Amino acid sequence: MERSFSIPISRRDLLKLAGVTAAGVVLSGSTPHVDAAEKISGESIKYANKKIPVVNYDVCICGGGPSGTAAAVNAARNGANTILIERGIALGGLGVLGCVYPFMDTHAPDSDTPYLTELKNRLRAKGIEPFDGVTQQTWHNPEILAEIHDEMCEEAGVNVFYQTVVVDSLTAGDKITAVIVQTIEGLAAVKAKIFIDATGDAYLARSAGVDYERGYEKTGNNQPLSFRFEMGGVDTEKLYNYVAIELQEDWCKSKLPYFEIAEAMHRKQRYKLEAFMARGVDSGELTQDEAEYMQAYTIIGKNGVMSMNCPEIPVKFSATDPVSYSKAVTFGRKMMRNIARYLIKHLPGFENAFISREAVMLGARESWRIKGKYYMVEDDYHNQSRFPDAVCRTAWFIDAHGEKVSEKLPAGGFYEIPYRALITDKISNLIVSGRCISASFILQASMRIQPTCISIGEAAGIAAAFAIQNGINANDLDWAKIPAHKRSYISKG
Amino acid sequence: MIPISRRDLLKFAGITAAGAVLNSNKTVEAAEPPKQQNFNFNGAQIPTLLRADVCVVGGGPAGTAAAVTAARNGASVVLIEQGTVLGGLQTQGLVYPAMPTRIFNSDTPYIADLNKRFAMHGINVSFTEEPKYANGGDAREYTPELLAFIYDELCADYKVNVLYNATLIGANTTGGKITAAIVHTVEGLSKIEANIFIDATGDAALSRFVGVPSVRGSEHTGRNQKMSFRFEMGGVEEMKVYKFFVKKLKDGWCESKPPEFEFAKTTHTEKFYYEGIQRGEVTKDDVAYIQAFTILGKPGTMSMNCPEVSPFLYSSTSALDRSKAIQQCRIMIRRLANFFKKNIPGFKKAYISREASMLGVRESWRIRGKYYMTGEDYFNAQKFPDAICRSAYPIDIHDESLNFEKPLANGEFYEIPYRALITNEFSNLLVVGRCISANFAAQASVRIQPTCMSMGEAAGIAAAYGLKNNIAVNNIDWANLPAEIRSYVSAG
Repeated sequence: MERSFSIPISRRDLLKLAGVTAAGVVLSGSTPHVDAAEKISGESIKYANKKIPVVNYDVCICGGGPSGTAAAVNAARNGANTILIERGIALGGLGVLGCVYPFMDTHAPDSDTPYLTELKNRLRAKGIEPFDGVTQQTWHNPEILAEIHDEMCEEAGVNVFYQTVVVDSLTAGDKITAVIVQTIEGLAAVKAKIFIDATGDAYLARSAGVDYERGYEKTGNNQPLSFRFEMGGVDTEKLYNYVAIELQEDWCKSKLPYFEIAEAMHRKQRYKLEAFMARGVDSGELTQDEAEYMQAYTIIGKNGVMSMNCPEIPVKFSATDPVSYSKAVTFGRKMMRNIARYLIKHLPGFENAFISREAVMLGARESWRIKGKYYMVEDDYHNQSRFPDAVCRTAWFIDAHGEKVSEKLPAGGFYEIPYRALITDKISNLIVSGRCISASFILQASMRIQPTCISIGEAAGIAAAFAIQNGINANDLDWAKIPAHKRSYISKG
Repeated sequence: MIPISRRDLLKFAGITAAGAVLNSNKTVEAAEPPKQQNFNFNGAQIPTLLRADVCVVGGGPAGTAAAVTAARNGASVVLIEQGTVLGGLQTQGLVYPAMPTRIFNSDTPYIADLNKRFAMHGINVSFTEEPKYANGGDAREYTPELLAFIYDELCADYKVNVLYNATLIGANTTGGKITAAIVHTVEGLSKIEANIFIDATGDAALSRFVGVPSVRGSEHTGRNQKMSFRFEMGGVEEMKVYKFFVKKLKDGWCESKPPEFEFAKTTHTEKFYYEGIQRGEVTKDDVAYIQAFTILGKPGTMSMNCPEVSPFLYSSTSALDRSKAIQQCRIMIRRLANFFKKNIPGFKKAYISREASMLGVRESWRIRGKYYMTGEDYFNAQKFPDAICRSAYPIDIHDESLNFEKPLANGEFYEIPYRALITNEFSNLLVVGRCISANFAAQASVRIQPTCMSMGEAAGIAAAYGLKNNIAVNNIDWANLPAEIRSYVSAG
C-alpha cells in the first residue's frame, strides 16, 4: 500500500495565517517540541488522501511579480481581504528576482496608470529618479523596489505569504474553490471568492483546465530565456568615454548616470559594439551565442554597478519544459561567465569589474498564455485597437527575439488591452494578469513589458474587489461599467 | 554541449525515460503498470519526469556534495533544487564565509577538491598549510557567484542531472521504502523515481513528509535558533573602514587587513552601536548582532552577517513566521545600511548591492535517526567507528541565555557517526546537512557548511555502495566499507 505524504500545517500557524492571532506572538513557549501529528480542529479539506487545513480570503493572488503585486495592493486598497502568494522572498518577480532592469518603455503617451505613477513617486522619495530625461524607460533599483513593494503591501493590508508555492487547484463547476499551496510546514488550501493568476506561466489557469497556448505557432518555440546578472566595479565614466565618445555610439540618448550600452547582431539597427563582440568570436573567447546580444545599463543608486541584459540563451532551450529550463540555467551561467570575462579583459571601464549578483530566476519572456474571452492578435497592434473595456495602453514594439521585430507605431500611436483578455469562459472567478493573458505569441511580444503587466495587475485588483462587492462574477464583469473614478484606466475610444 | 531535448538528456544522464509531459494526453510510459495513485492533478495521474538510482532533494552544500559524490561513485543522480543556483545558504543565503571546523584534517576529499577548483580561479581557500591558522583551519571564502559556477561545473563533470526550479511537495512510499518524490515544476506536478533518496532539504522536509519522527527547537525553551537575512553592500572603501574600527575605535577583533577584513559588534565597538540606538537611527534588535566581511573577488563589497530576528517572535518552523521575518528583516536591513552609511567612514557611498534570496535558517526540524547526537558527544570529544567526519566548531547558539561558553580544548574534536544520517523507518533514506539526528546543542555545532559538505559526501558514497552491493542504506555499517572508498576513517 502506498501512503500519502502531506503534513498538515499546525493549527496555531493556521490561525495566525488567517489573522486570528496577531503576528509576532510567542509561539513555542513551553510547548513540547517533538512533533506529533497535530489535529486540525478548524476547517479542513481532503487533498491527496490527507486532511489539510484551509484558510479563507476574498481575493487570492498567485505570484508576487510586478503584476501580482499591483493586483494585491489594489484589491486590498479597494476593501478586499487579500492574500498574495509568492514562492521567493521578495516581491517584484522579474523586476527584482530576475534583475530585469529598467522597465521598458511603453512608447505610448500618458500610459502610466495611477499605481505606476505612485510607484515612480515612491522611487523618487527614496532617492531614485526613474526618469532619465529622454526616454520613458523606468530606471528603478531592484533592492529599493523590493522594499517599496513590502511597504505598499503592508500599508494596504495585503497578507503576503513568502516561500509558498502554488501547486494545484480545486474546482467545482465553473469556479475555483481553493488553491493548494506548499509551505515549509506542508500543504494547505487557500479558499477565496476570486483568484488572480499572476504566475506568469498561467499555472493556476492551466491547473483549473483553462485552454492555453505556448510558443510561436509557426515554430513551437517559446521566446528565448535570458539569465540576467549585475556587474560591480565598473568605471562608468571610462566606459561612457569609450563607447559614446571614442566609438561615437549614439544608441543611448541619455547621459550618465543613465547610461546603457548595447549590441545585437542580425537586427536592422547596427551597433558600434558589434565589431567588439565579433572580435571575441574570432579570438575564440566568445561563442556566437554569447556575442549575439549584449546590453548593459547603469543602475541608479548602485554606483559602478551595471545590469546586464544578457546572456540570451539559445531558443532551443524551452521555458515550458522543466528539464530544458534547468539545462538553460547551467548553460546560461556558463555564457554569463564568458561574457563577463571578455568584458573585463577588453572593454575599457570593465578592468576591475566582477559579477556582483546573479538573477535568482531566469528571464522568461513568454511561456504559457491563456485563451480568454478576447484573444489579442497582431492586428490589434497594427490597427491600434481601442476597447471600451480597456485596462491600459501600450505601443512597445513587437519584440519577439529571434522571430519577429516589428516597426514602431507612428509617434503618439498605441493600442489598448481589453479586460476581456484577462478572463475566461471556463472559470467565473478567475482573472489572469501579467505576461500570460489571452494573446497570440506575436502580440504578447509587445504587451509583456513590466509597466503594462503592472497596469494589468492594477486593473485586475480593482475588478476583483468590485466584483465581490457587487456580487458579479469576475468573468461577467464589464470593466466599462465600473464607475470611472474607480477605474485605473478609461478608454477614450 | 548540453543536450536539451528530454529524451537526449535522459540518455546522456543514463536515466531511463519514463514520463510524458504533464499537459500532453499521452499516458505515462512507466515500466510497471500504473499503481494506485495517491495524488491527483486535475484528476490525471502524475507522470514520472525522471528516474535515477539516487534522488537528492535540496541543492545546498550538503545536497550538492551528496549528488556529486554519488555520481562520482557510479550512480545516476537527480538533484532537485528549488532555486536556480546550487549552494543553498552559501549562494542564495549569502552565508559567507564558511565557518571553520577548528580542527586539522577535517577536510574530506570533496572539500579538498572544491578548494582546488577555487584556487584555479585565483582564490585560495585552503589554509591547512598556513601555520597562522594553528587552531586548524579558518573560514573558507567561497565567493557566492563563483561557487555557483563551480557547483554547476562539478555537476556537469560528474553527470549529475540537476533539476532547477523544482519544489518538493511530497513523496510516495511503500513498505518502508520511498518510491517517488513528488515535485512541482513550471509544468505541474511530477514524480522523480529513485532507489535511494537523500534528504538535503535542511528542513527535513522529505523525512517529515514520509513520517520520520522529527524534533525542532531547544528542548528547554521550544524556540528555534535565530534566523538571519543576509545582504551585501557595494561601494565600500575597505581601508577607510579598517582604519575606523582598528585605529580609531581600537578594535582588535579582526587580525587581518583588507582585502581580508571583518568588523563586528565587540566590547570595543558596543558604544558605537549603542549611540546609534540613542540617536534613533537603529533599534536594539537591529544591532543585536553585527558582523561584516569583505568578500574575496568582490572588491568594495562587504557581506553582512546581520540582521537577526528574535527567536521569541519568529520561529523558523512556522511558515507564517518565516514570511513575516522576511518583511521585518527587509526593514532592518535598510536601517542598518543607512546607519553604516552615515557613521562609518568608507560607507559614505555604499549601497545595498544584493539581498539574500533565502533566509538564513540555522536550525529548524531535525530527524530522530538511528543515533541521536547530543551535547555530551561534543563535550566528551566522542569518537565513533562509523564516523564520517570530525569537527570542533563550538556549540554556537545565537541566544545569549542558551550559549555554552566552554569550547573543546585546542586539538580536541568530536566525530559524527553515519548512524545519525539514517532512520529506523525507511531503508532507502539518508538525511544530510543541518537536519540530521542531533539534539539542539549538538546541532548548534554540526550545522556549519564544511561539516554539512562532509556529511553529504559520505551519504553519496554510502548510497552508491549500497546500490552496488545491494545493501539497504540504513543497514550499512560505514566502518565496514573498504577504507579506500571512505571519505573519512575514524582513528578511534
